[in-house]
Amino acid sequence: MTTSENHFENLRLELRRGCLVLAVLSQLREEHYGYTLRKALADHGLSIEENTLYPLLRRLESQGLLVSEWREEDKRNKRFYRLSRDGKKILQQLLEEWQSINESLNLILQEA
Amino acid sequence: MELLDRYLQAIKRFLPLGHQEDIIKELSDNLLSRIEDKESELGRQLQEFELESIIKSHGHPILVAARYQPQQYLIGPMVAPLYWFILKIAVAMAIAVYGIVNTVLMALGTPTLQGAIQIILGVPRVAWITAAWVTFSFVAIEIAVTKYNVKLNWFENWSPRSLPRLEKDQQKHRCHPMVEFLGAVFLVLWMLIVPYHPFLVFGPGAYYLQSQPIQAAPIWYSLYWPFMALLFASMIVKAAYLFSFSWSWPKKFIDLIFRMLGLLLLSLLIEAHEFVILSGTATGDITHLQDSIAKLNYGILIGLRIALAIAAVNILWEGGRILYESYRGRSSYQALRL
Repeated sequence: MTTSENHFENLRLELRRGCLVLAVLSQLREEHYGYTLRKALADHGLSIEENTLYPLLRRLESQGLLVSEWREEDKRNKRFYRLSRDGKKILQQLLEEWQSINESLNLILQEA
Repeated sequence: MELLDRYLQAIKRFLPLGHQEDIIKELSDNLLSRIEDKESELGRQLQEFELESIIKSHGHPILVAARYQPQQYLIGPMVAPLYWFILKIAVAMAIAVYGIVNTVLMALGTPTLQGAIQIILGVPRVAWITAAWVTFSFVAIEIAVTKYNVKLNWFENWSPRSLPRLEKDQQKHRCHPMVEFLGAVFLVLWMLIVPYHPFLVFGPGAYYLQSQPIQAAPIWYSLYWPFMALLFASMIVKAAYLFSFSWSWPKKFIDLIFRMLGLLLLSLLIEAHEFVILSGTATGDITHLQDSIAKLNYGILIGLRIALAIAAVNILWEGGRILYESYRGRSSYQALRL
């Protein structure tokens, strides 16, 4: 990988990192377990590695934004996640912030 | 699915205590879901190599488990900038104090070349120990901040008016390099003449010394030409500076190297311990003369040791200044770039 490609890759990861939390919280307005959540994100064009998603889910749960429970489905125990009350509030705030950033960025890009 | 169980067992070993079972159950479910999807896609059970491929794509057990660790770094981004700043200052000061103290102790004791080398070889150890203590301290600060929510407000109470005054730019005078070069030429010529005209060093005292049964010890002759080579090289370098249009740090660095070489020659001189000897024409009470020469040598030795200590301290100070100015120059540049 050239230096330029390296820079792009690092910046791309930084950009994605900022968006993943919003994407995960948005998707968890409906209940999912890890595997289906990952598939749902991938179907919307946002692929995420398992080793990123699962620790992220635990971190968001430890911050009180998600709640989880183990349930049996298809003869296997699965951990289902959904937004907590705080998670819904934070998601709404993040969405507003995202809209604001999006509008600013569109203006900047139009001027450029 | 022995391979899968072995994989999950390997991950479990590195997971944080208290969460192992929970995390393994979740990872197991995820991998089994992937396997089931693949099997329904192929319409058959997976073979060993296909299962191995899925497991391998999931990641090395240590890396998978590492993502579940609560703290991913010893010194986090909030504390790191201060850590680097303090680390550089602490290591530089530790080396400076170590160098000054040991040089002075050596000068007051029995300075030897071996002793000087031992001091220099001790510098990395001093640097490592200092760096280790600073690092441990900042790891403790990081733990206090992240785990116990200790607030750091070191940089909240400050005023722009308390910042240092603006420094004047170094004036670039063309005459300064010329003066240095002419001085170097004069010094070389003077030192070439001194062996034939000791009057140039001792003044009228030279005539008195010539009447005494003493002469310069062999060490002076041994070191004369290495010293002249150093002066000559310095003169050449100063000639090159005439064509340099900026006072950049390489000049200061080169000057420092010359001073260090001069210090080395001084150390070799001191190691001889004998600066004057009885001349072959000595007559009379030889024992008394030898006793006087011994006292004279001792007096010269003390003087040279003091000169060595002062020169060493000066070199360490200049070296520290060069490093500090170099660091400050880079920091300002990086601040501008940000």
